[in-house]
Amino acid sequence: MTAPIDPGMPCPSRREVLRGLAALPFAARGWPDLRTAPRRSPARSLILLWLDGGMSHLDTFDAKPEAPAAIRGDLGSIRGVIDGTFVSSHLPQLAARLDRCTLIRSLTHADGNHDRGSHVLLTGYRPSAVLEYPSLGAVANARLPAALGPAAALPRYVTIPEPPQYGGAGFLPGRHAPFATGGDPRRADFRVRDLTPPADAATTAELAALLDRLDGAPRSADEEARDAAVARVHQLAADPEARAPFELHRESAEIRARYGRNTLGQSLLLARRLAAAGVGVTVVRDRGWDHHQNIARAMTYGFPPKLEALDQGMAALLDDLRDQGLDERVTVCVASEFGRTPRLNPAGGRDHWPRAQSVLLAGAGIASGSVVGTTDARGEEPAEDPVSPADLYATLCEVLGVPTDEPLHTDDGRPVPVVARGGRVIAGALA
Amino acid sequence: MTKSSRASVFSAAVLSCLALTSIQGQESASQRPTCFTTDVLPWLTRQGCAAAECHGGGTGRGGLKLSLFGGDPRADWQALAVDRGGRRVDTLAPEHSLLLRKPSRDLPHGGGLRLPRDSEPWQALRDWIAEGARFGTPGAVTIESLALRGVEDGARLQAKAEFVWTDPESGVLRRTVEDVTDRVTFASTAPDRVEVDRTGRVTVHGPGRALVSARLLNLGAELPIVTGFGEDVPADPADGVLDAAWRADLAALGLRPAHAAPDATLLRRLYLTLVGRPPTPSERDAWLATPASRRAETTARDLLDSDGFTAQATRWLAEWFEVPDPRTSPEHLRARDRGLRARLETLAANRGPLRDVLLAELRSDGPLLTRHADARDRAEFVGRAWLGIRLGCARCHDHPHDRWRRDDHLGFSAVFPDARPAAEGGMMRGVLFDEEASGRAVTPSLAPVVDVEPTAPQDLATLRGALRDDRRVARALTNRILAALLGGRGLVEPPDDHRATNPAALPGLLDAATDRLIALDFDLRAFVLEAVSSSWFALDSARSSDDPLDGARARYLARRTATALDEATWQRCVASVLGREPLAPPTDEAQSPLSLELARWHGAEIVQTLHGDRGGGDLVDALVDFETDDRARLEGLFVACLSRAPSDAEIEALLPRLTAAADPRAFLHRLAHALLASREGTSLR
Repeated sequence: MTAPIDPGMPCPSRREVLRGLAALPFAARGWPDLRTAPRRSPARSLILLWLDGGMSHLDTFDAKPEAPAAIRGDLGSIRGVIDGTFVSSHLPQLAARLDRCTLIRSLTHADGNHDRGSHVLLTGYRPSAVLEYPSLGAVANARLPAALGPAAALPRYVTIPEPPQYGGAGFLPGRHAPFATGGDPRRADFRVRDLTPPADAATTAELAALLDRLDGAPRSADEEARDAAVARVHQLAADPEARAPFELHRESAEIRARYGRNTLGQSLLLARRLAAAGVGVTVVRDRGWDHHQNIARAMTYGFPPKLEALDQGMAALLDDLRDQGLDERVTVCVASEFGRTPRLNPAGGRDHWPRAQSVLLAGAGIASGSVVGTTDARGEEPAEDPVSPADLYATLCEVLGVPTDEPLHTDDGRPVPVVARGGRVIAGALA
Repeated sequence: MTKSSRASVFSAAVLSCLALTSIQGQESASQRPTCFTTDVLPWLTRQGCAAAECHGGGTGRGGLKLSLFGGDPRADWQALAVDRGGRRVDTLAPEHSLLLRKPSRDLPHGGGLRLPRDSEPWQALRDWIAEGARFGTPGAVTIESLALRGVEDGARLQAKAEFVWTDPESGVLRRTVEDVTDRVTFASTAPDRVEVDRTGRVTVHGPGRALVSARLLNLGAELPIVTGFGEDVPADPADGVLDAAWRADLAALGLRPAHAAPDATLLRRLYLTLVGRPPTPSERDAWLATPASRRAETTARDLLDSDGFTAQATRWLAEWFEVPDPRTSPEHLRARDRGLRARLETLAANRGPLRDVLLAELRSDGPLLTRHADARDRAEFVGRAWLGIRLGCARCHDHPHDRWRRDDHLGFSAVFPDARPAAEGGMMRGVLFDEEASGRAVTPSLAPVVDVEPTAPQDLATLRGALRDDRRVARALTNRILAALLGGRGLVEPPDDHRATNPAALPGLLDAATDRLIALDFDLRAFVLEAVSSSWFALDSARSSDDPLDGARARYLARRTATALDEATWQRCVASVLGREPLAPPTDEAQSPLSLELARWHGAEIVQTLHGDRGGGDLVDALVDFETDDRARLEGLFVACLSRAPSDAEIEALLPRLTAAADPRAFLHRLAHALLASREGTSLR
């Protein structure tokens, strides 16, 4: 069994990189040279686990054991390791790790459909008829300094497997759109889309470099952007270590089992690899949380049950980050577009409820063992410390180091603040 | 907005474009009665009190809420003089008024010093308070027009407004012209080139074209400022109408145009622009066989008559009318989008006047409209697609510096039937259900958009008739066509944002092109033929080292801008070269550039296509089997992939490698891939 490659360990030596690129003369001529810049401490990274559909807060992180059965549901609850917290009995591992997290229980907004709710959480803004707002990942891609060294070849905003709705670049230039891995990381044959070069790719790349060199300088910003992307492609093709963060199959069976051999767990493991390698924002999109019917069964049945997969995957991620020392530079956020109705509907499910929802934060820049806000006895409304999606967005910008003082600009020059008006950093969430 | 005030805005813009004021009237403000709207409100805007960050914001500041930039004078007067028992003003001791003491920092003020004591705005507010802090009789004093001109050799701007007022003693209507420079808000469309400060002082930082503007209440005036680059641009007596206008624009800027593109570049550009694919080798041969002076026009004429142009025009219409490629649509919308595309293909094939063809689609059961369920979405779509204007902001709030108010948006939206039930928020004709005024009836109104008699039916038939002779439709359409011919960027950008403060990069060319399109009775093919036969279409895209990537030469069409081929076009290029059907485009339109390039270089389908037996093999096999030497094979590959022969440098670099290759076919496969995915192969130059 080969030892797992740890993307957090020092990268291959300069000699090894250069040897691998010996067939490619592009570095000296015309294309941006991504190899030779000095390394520096990698900037912070964010892993956003997006539970697509609307995670029920009462059936996960804000259980109400004292509420009537029609509200508390059938899943049971246990005490979290932090006093006063009750989580689903199907999340025992996370319950025991809450002292390493910040739990926000009082996130509230007014947009109860999937489109609008996703928009307001992922961009910090309510939808507009006039503007398509960029997601946090795109903004981070635009605002954070470029990665140096081997991480320079990696995209800085990645979605696994596809971006959620409104997870794109919005009005920002297309180069800030996310890189989607595609596929299902659970599969043994999982490979990130188009990453593996074909046989003799080096020859094709060398010929392309020759042609571009003879062509002279790029003639426009479009051609310059193309050159930058092509440089990344060819570095990824030439250097197996540059591709390594995407190669989930390099992980040991033990590690993969720890995260859970399911799509969510393996996606979180892939996200950890990418964050450790310096990818700025990685969004893991897990579908199927829109439980309008028989929510108890929907969350606890299947292969694996959704709550079990969430519990195992997130616990493994938190432990893995800590064990590798990555919790000092990788932030984790679990969020969804809204919560779900406190009262069970006639079909035994819960419907959309934006007035109260829970968010879990952990890792770099995040307070340990902190709880922000409470909801009332029925989980209907924030009772203390309500926070808005703009507040959450501002907080994530803060921990990522995304500058928010200068506005973004649309293609017609309109200034748009990075954080929606009124959004404030949630002090109780910061370390 | 009323018809008269809209006319005033238009006349102000005309006056400003002449760069001279022709307002006649007596300059005597002291005889005119004071009015809150005309004499107090502008100061509050000018001093920043009514800005979004302060009292003009959604919830105001410090308990005082004003309308954004003075958009609602009556509400502002109410807030200042009536609310809270009128405690903000003291008509008996005006200088003790909170309205004066706080912004002059006589009392703590979160907004800082805004009205220094005894300054002109302070005095104006004081005088108004002393006179009773009245709103004034509505309409007793109005500002009819605003004009802007340069003074002090252009170092400063001067704004003058024409006030119309009723003499309180004689009842006679009087007009006075007043200098309002100190109370307008100045702005520049290009502050990096031309900066204007709040006093109207102009600082030119660099050559180019900019528009400076002044705003006073809901009136605006603009003044173009052109600073030349200092190059000679001689006229060409052989120029046609379009070229003459283009060259005149460049002469005004002092920007010499680049040379014409090389022959091979122009050939490829014509084909990619008009039919969305590169020329075949035999088409290239036909081009070379045509006398050089007639190549472009002859080729363009043939292409415009082909089905290929109909397909390309369909793609243009799809972009203008926001119809997605059905292959990328969600499954539940695919059938609908296929139907829309088929409809657009019918329109593209129609040889009738394009304006009429498109206006005919402006009907309540038209599929282009009905795909928008909400009447407000339909109204905004009509604005973007047919008129090239953005109405969306006015859906939610008033922008007093813009023509459109929220009521205008409501009235225009009410013209469009809405399929949704009212209980679901739908907007049925004549009735609005909205958050603030549920059940309030809204009268359909075309007045915000077109000049029609108030008694005319406010419906789509009337709208179609009014738009038929509306130059804005012609201008927006012209700009869209020019954008398609120039690689995706028109003379007004974005193309759905035509307004006074977003001027065309080359206003003379846009106007001349609009006139030609009208004169040709909106014959799309005739207009395109004329355009692609022009010198500005044939400009080279190569640049010198002192010419920035997207600098002035590109911005002002002194040089052609190379633009990236979109994914679907590049796929068609590959398919055309290989003689096969295009691969399906990616399903996710919002891919990152890295994703796209990975697909081009590593994608399984591309690799199999180019390197294997499916097409790529055919091309290479033909070269290997039918050409007798390596040089001919190399040249054949370049002609097939890039529509040109290889340069001497390329032959020198590649021929030895081909000759030495152990597997020439494999080498040519790789080279074909490299050519098609090269910078040149993925660009429209």
